[in-house]
Amino acid sequence: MAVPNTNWRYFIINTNNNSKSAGKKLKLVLLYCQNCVANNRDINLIATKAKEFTLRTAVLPCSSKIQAHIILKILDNEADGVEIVVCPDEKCHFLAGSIRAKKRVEYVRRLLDEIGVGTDRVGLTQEIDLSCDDLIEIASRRIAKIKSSYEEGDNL
Amino acid sequence: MIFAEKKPMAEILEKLTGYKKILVVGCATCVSECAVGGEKEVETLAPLISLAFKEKGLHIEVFTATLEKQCEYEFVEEIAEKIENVDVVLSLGCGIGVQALAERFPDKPIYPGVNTSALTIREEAGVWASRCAACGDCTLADTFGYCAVARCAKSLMNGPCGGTRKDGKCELNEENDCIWNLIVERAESRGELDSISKVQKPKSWSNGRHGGPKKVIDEVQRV
Amino acid sequence: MKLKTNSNLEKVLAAGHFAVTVEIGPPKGPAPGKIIKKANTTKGIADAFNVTDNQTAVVRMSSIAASKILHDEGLEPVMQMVCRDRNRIAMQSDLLGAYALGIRNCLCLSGDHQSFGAGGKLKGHPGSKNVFDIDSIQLISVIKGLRDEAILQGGDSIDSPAAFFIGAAWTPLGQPEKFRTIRLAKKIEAGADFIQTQAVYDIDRFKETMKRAEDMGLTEKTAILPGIIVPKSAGMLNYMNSNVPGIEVPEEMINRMKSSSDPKAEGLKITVELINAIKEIPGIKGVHLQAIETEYLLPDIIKSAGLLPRPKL
Repeated sequence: MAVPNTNWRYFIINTNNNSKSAGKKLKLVLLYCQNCVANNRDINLIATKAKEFTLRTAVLPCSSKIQAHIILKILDNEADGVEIVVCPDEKCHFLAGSIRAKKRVEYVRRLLDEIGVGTDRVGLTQEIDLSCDDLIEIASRRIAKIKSSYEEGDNL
Repeated sequence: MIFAEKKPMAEILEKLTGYKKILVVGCATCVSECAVGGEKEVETLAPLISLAFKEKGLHIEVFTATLEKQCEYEFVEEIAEKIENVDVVLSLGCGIGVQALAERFPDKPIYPGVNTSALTIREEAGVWASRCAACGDCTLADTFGYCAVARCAKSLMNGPCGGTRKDGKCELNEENDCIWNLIVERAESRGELDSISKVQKPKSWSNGRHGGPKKVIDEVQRV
Repeated sequence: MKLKTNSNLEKVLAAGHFAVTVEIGPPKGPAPGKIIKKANTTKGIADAFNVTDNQTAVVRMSSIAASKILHDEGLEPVMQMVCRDRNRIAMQSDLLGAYALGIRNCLCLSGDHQSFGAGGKLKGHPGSKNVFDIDSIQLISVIKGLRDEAILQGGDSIDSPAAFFIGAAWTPLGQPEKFRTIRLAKKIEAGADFIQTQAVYDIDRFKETMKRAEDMGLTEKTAILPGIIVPKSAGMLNYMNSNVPGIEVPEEMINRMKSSSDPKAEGLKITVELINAIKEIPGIKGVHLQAIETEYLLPDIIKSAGLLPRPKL
C-alpha cells in the first residue's frame, strides 16, 4: 500500500503570487542541503540581505528530499523561481542525493519547457562551504536569469 | 503490474482547454508503481497544468485527489463530493480506472492522462519491461518460463526467426534479448532441447482479447 | 519417386538437376508494366521465380497478384507468404485462391516486423496492427494439410487438395547457431520440401552448418538452395555484415570489392564464384539468386555459371 508522503508540505507556502509583470519585485525560493553551508548562524536572517528581490530559504535535511512536485508547487503558487543548492556529486553524504536532485531538477526543466514556460525558472548549484553572501550571490544570478527571460517573453 | 505512460502535455492541455475547474485523480496502485499516476505524479501535474494555463493568461483551479485503487467502486466513492465542484476530471489511472470514474460519474467528462500500454515487471528502479500479453492460454511451461507471446516481437511459438542479432538481441529493438535465444539457452542448460525440437501447434487466441470482450462470472463469489 | 505436386521446381529437383530460383520484387503500385518487364527479362533463366510478400513491411503489389502475372507470362512463381499481415483464415483463403490461379509453390516466412517499413525516405505503416496468428512453421503444416489431407487448420475439409510444393527459409548462421539446424529439422518435420537460405558469402562457415544438417539426415529429406545476393559495393557488403542477422561476409571479400576499379563487375564475378563454390558442397540441390531491383543482371550471371539452358520437363 502506498503511504502518502506528506512531510513535503513543509517546503511549500501558498501565497498565490501572480508575478511575471514588469516592475513587480521578483521572488525566489532557495532550498539548500544542510551540508552545503559552512557554519553560518546568519543564515536564519538571510532574507534581510536580499535587496532587489524577495528571498525565502529552507534547509533540506538531504538533497534527495527534493521532488518535482515541490518545485512546481512553489512556482505555481509562491515564487518566480526556485534554486536548489546541493553538494557536488562526489561530496554527497547520502551518496546518491545530489545525483537524484540533479535528475529531478532536469526533469522539472523539461516539463516547464514542454508547457512553454521555459527552463530559466529553476536552477541547480552544486557547491560546498557556502556562506550567506555566497547564497545571496547564487540567488541573485538566478533572479537575473528569470528577469531577462520575462523581458524576452514580454518582447515577443 | 499494469503499466502506463504519461501522455504528452500538449495533448492533455488541449483536452483541458475551456474548463475552469479541473480535478486530477491519481491511483496509488499500478500507476503509482510505475511512477506515472500516483500521488507524487498528481501533485506534480496539478501545478504544471496551472502554470501552463497561467502562461496563456488563463486562471484555472486545479484540485487533486489520489485514490487507493481507481478500479474499486468503494474508493471511487471517496471523491463524490469533490467531483461536484469541478467541470472536468483528468484521471491518471489506467484505462480501467478512467472507466470506473466515468461509470460512477456519467455527467462529468473524465479524460485519461496516461496511455495504458503493457503488463510489466519492474526489472530494476526505473526500468519496466513487458512480461505478459494476457493471451488467455498460458503455455509458460513449454517455454521454460519465458513468455514468447509477450516478449517475442512476432509471438512465435516455434522461434527464433532469422532476426536474432549476433549479440543475442532482437533486431527490432536492441534493448531486448531475443526471447527465443534465451529459451533455447535455458532448454540446453537443463538438457531438455527435445521439448522445443518438436513443432508447436497453432495457438488458440480465443480466450484472450481476440475472443471478444470478457465478462466472467463466478457464482460462488457473487453472493 | 512420386511427385507431390505438378510444380516445375519439384520436377527439376526430382530429376536430379541443380535447380535455379531467382527473386522478383513486385512493383510499388497497381500497374503491372514493371513486373511484366521483369518477367520478360528473366524468362527461362530459372526453374522458379520467388515473388516477395510486402518485404520489409513495405506495401507493394501483393505476392498472389504478382505471382499470377508471372504465371501468365509463362514463368513459374514461388509465392512468398509472411505471417505478419494475415490470420489463418485469410492465409488459407489466399492459398486456395492462389492454387486456383495456377500457383504451385509457396515459401513460408515469419515476415519482418511492420516497424521496418518506416525508414529512410519511407513513412511506411509503423502504426499498423500485426497479426502473427500462426508462425512460419505452423504455416508449413497448414499447407501440408491442404495438400495431403485436403483439410483446413481448424479441421474442416476442403473440396479438393491444394497441392503446393512447400518452401521454408533457413538462417544457418543466426544466433543461436546450434539450434538453427534443429529448427531446420522442425521445418522439415512440418513439411518443408525445399529450403532457401539467408545470403551466403562465407563458404567455409556455410560448409560447417551444412555438415551439421547432413549429419542430422536433413539433406536427404529436403532440397537446400543457398541464397546469394549479388553484391554491388563494398559498402553494401559491409552493411549486411554488420546489420543483417545471419549474414557473414569474409573481410577479404569486402577488401576485394573496395580495391576494385569496377565494383559492379567485381560483384558479378563474386556471385559466379559463389555459385560454383556452393555447387561443390554435399547436400546442396540448387541455388537461389537475388539481385535486388536489378533483376536484369541475372541472365548473364546464370549463363556465366554454366547453368543455362534450364531443363524443360
